[in-house]
Amino acid sequence: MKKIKKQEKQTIWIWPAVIIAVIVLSVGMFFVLQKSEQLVFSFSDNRGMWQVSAGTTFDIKDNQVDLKKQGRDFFVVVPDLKIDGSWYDVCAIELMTPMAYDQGHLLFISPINQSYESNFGYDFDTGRDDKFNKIWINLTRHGAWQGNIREVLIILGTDSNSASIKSIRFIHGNFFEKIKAWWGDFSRYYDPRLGSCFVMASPFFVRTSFTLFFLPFYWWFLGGSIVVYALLYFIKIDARILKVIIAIFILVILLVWGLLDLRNNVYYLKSIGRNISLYWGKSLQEKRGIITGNQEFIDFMKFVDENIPLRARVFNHIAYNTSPQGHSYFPENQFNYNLRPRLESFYQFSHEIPKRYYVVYGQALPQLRGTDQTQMQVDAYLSLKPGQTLRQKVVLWNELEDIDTFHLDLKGAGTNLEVKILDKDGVKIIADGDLFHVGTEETVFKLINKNRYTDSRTFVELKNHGRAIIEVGISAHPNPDTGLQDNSGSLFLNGAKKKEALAFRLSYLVKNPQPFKKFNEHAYILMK
Amino acid sequence: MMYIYLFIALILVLLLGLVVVDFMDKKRGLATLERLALGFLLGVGLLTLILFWSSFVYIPYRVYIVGAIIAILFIFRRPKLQVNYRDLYNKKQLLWVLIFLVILIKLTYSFVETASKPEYTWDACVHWTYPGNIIYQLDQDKYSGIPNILNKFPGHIAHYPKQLPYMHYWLFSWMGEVNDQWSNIYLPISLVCFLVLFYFNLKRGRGSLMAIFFTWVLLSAPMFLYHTTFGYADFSIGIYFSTGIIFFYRWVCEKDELYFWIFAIFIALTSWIKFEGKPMIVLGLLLLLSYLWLNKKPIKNQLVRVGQYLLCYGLIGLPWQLLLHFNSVPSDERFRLHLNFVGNIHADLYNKLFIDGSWGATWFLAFFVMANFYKQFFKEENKYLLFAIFLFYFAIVSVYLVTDSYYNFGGAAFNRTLLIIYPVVIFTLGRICHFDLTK
Repeated sequence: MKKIKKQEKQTIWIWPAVIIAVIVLSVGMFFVLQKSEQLVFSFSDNRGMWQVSAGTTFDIKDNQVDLKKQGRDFFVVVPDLKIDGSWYDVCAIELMTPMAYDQGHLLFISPINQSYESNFGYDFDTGRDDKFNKIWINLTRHGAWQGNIREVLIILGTDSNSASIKSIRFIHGNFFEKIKAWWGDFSRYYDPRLGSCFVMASPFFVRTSFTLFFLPFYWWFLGGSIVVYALLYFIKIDARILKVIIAIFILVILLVWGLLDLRNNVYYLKSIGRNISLYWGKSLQEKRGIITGNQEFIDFMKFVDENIPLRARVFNHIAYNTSPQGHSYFPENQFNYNLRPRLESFYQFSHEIPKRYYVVYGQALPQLRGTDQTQMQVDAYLSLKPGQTLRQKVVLWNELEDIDTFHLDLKGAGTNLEVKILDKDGVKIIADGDLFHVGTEETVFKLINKNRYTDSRTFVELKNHGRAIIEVGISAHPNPDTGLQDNSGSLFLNGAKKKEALAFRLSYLVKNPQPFKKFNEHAYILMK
Repeated sequence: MMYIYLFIALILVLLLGLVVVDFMDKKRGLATLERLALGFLLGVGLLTLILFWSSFVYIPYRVYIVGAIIAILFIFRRPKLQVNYRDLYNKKQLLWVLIFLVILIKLTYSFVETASKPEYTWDACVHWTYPGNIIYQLDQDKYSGIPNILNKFPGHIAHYPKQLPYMHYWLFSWMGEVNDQWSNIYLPISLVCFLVLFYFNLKRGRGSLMAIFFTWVLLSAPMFLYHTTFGYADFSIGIYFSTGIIFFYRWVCEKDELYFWIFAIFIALTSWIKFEGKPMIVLGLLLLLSYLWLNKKPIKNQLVRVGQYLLCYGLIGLPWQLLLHFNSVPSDERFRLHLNFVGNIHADLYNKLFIDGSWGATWFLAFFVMANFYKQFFKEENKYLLFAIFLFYFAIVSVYLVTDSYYNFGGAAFNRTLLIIYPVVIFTLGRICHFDLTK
């Protein structure tokens, strides 16, 4: 009896399930079988109607074109395309790259833009490595894709040095093709960017479509549930209603997020493929070049590390505009990171000045100008009365002939301030300061009448020989970021020791540096 | 060969932690997987402290000597480990397996992403991996007093604690080279360990399905997962703090001494990871005081507990602070009122949580569940999780209002700071999100 009952229960569910499945399949087939129209541009059949970037070599065989990158750029352009952008809404490129999920771009010229611009185009990932992939692009997502599309340019990959291309198709797509193009965009892979550790760029849709769609909806629900709580409190209605509402909402959040998380997992799987293809099997040095985007810089830093002795003082003259990762990434971040620590560069162990090496990258024969010591974090001002003298112990990092200017934060007439650099005995004058420039934040003295010195421990002496008080900027908390020697506890006002340090900056301008080693025309080491 | 040495280095970390966990867990209240997970996390903390203390003098073959001592201790102690798959889940559940597979994809990503690339992220190259390189090079050059020299390097903020750099040093030393690609591998391992602890603690009372489900929720935030793949300290401080709070909750529920000590040690370790650990120490203390006060414990008991908690901080976090003090290392933490920032901070917080932070749906879910299950919050032990979350919120806002942190950095670090409390919030959701539609 029990078995019969069970069978009856099953048959009740079979028919509705079959009917629903038939409807779903019919609707699906309807969309899939919808007609689409496409324009196929085969690269092997249309030789003469496309060009490659300067230096790129190509070879046509069978029905594909194999391209090899030689110079900086790596693209194919179809200059005389002339298609109706309003009609074609999907694009499919047949492409193969040796690197998995490389970053490709499709740029176009429409009536809205007159030349190729990076924001008039589409980004795509090139798919799995070493096999032809059809890259589907949803053309409708760019507002400028309309009217007469005159030209297109395909950037074949960012990290790949070769690629093969078969065709590019412009399609007036059916539902199924549009879905494929949408999915191609939605699940696109791109490498994490450096800034992403602050706000984490990936995956982008979380910050845009999902959030913007969800946010207003979300607050209405949250507000609504609080209103229902209030109603429950005042009118004794069944609490189960609220529970059901809450359960439904949580289910909606999780369902939406669950689906989007599936996309995240596709991203993660692509990332695994990408990492294996791009990094595995390469040396650490090569990987470092890829990840920073400048192999030459990384190789140069290795050259620097191997050539400069460990007991030396190294000065950083890396140009700020050489990093693809951001303005100060190489000079401020990767410079020290790629060198074994030269302690003399950070800390004065002996009183003799060690050999100095000036590492130059990204510029040809610059002036070797830089900051010797920075302690310009002004927390307070110290009143230097007429006739009073202030002395600060300073350890010099360059030879005196190379020390150029001395910067102070002053309130009051700098003209009445006498600046001197004294030897370690505090008596012998080794340089005088000549008022050079009075700015809003700094008063600058040029150092003149310089004498030779052998001991880097010196004093800077300030004397007020005017009639008014001069306020001198001091630092109660020496800047922890500088890492330079701590000058606190070595400030004296008329011989009395103060807890603070003088806020100052010393700049240098190296005279007659000698060539030491050359890596290439814009990467070399000078010494003194 | 390098991989074998790396493996030995990681195993030694685990063995050290296991010995300590075995010593603490005499009643065997922890499942084997929990012991292993706690062992690794504790091992990282304790080992780096040992290396720090020992680096005041030059010891030839330091890491091998430390390794040998750990191995001897392990052989002497021989902790018992019996892995039982029933610890993981007790019923055959297809959904459990499916969620586990999704988690596995995320973990694979974390491991492959970490082990494929050398370090490239900004702060890791300046503050975390770079000092590890310096310690390694100074040790190679036979320097004594390494901790005193560590404060002198440019760009690197000298007062940052050194758990991460010493861990890199340990791995570099065993590998015999500065391999910043593989030295980060302990981060995804730490993630796995934390997930095990998160899962097992949630499983108690909520069942294996709910536990695995909220483990997925935890991992589904790209922000959290991505931070396990590079050498910033925010993920590390987040998992140590969260482990501390989770075990505080377990201590409050089960009253076992072991859990109190795990809470106290892990909270203390946060101050050895990042300078945000200092407010976390205060937060832990306030949480402990609230428990002692609400449960009307005798004053003697209260003092003993507070003393035990502070002892952990005194042994783990305080030495670094004293070193900074005696070396006159200046800190950039300065008292300065910025009360006018209240609005900006909250606008920024809203922006980071819901719009700009790549947290996915997790904060949406968190706020909704917290608002709608508020009664669960105040039930028995759950209120301590609520306290922890609110104390964290007050701590962050207060720090921003009375120091220059927000003034100097704006919201740049806001998202990363939220990583500290994020696992606790998801754990709380797991505890309070109950549905009984029949009532």
